[in-house]
Amino acid sequence: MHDFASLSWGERLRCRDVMVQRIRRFFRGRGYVEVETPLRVASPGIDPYIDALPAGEGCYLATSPELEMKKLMTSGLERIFQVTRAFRADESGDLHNPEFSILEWYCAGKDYFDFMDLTEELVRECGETLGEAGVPTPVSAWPRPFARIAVDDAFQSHAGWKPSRSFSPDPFFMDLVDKVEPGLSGEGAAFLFDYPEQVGSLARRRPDNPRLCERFELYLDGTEICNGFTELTDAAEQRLRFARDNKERERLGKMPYPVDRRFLEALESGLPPCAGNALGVDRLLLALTGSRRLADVSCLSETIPAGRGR
Amino acid sequence: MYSTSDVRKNLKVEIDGSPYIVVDFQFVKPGKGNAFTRCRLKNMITGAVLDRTYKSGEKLKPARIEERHMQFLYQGGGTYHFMDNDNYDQVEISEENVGDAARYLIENLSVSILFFKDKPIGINLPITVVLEIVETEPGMKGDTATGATKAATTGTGLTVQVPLFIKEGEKISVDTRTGLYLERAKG
Repeated sequence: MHDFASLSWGERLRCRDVMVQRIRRFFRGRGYVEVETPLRVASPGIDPYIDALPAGEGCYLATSPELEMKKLMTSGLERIFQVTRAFRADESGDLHNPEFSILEWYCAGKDYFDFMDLTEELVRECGETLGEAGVPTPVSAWPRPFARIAVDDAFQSHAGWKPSRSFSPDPFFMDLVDKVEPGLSGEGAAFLFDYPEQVGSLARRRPDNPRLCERFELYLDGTEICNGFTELTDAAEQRLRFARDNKERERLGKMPYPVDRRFLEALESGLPPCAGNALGVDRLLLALTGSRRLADVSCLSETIPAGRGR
Repeated sequence: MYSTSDVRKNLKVEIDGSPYIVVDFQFVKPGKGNAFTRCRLKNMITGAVLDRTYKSGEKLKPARIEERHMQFLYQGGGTYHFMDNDNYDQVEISEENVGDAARYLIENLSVSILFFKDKPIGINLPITVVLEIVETEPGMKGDTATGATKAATTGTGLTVQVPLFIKEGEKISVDTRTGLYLERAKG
């Protein structure tokens, strides 16, 4: 067994490939169809805190394949996945790169609890594959099954308050990064679920509690790995949430983004009830190899920091 | 004012009326959520370490640190006295604020004194200083070529590992950043 960081660059690239192959096998074996979606889009998705890189002629580089993949879910295919790239402006750090690999998948008829189970299976299989390739992984130290903690409970134990009762973005995100996420590293592997509806723009609200949305994230040793939902399929509500998020962008002094009308038409034409999940491929490899910096696991030959060339 | 995007190691900022220096920082951002810059800061007067998380775009007040070239005169009664050679202004700095720099202060040494709000808060030493050895074991003949070292004490009270050929009363150059012996000083 060799420590991942001590492997040569070529050996690290080979390990990454072994993991990505396993991801593809995982989904193909479960009847998923691999798809491709445009990287250059007219509407990059509307999130108050995610900024897109301009790509000329009024277009942007996709910040996530989500809207395009949901359009494909109206094609009659019930299970789709892809490993692609996403781009986000102004994100550079040990765990951020403006360009990164993203695994995203959708399945009709499933909800966010089904997807937590599926995500855990995927992570364990990827860990197994890396183990077989001779890389030591921390998987055996993680609880089986992974912990599943409601956001309100995690905040109650680490920050002393419940966000669903009195949501405000600033204290929520500040305590999330300063108290909750560091607290979660003690769990090894933990899903957070049931987020305040204000931070789940594309997620369905819980039918029994509309203050919460059916969203989950996985944390491995304190690092955020994925973000999944039971998808919102109601076009009218989606339109309202886009408007709300664009208003929030303006409040933050940012440019509003164009609403993707085709996406709303797709919802109107009938997106089947489904769940979806987006997972950072480099982050997963980082967590499974006990690495600390994306630069140690990335497939990129060069990483260009945010803000260069402006 | 600085913004969070200006944060770098060694950036000097003012917090609650005290000067701090950034010793480490990290970009943190939940996938869907505000970005933050997590900083570890050191109080430039007390040395106390503070962890602070700033929201992206938040403003940080620059600490106005003024550097003045001065000469070390003498120490006595727990204070160190320095003089500005341009205007003959003298300042006193407490032993506490001089800290480890005391082990390199020899009479007439030129240093930079850091001022915050007209109060001296610290010293920037030259990279090398020449110190006299006042105590060390006698070395043995023929040891000059080996890498062997022995402990020696300087007139300023610094303990430093030196080659065996260095004798009491000799002067050596020392790197003030590392406290390591560099070479035997001439003269």
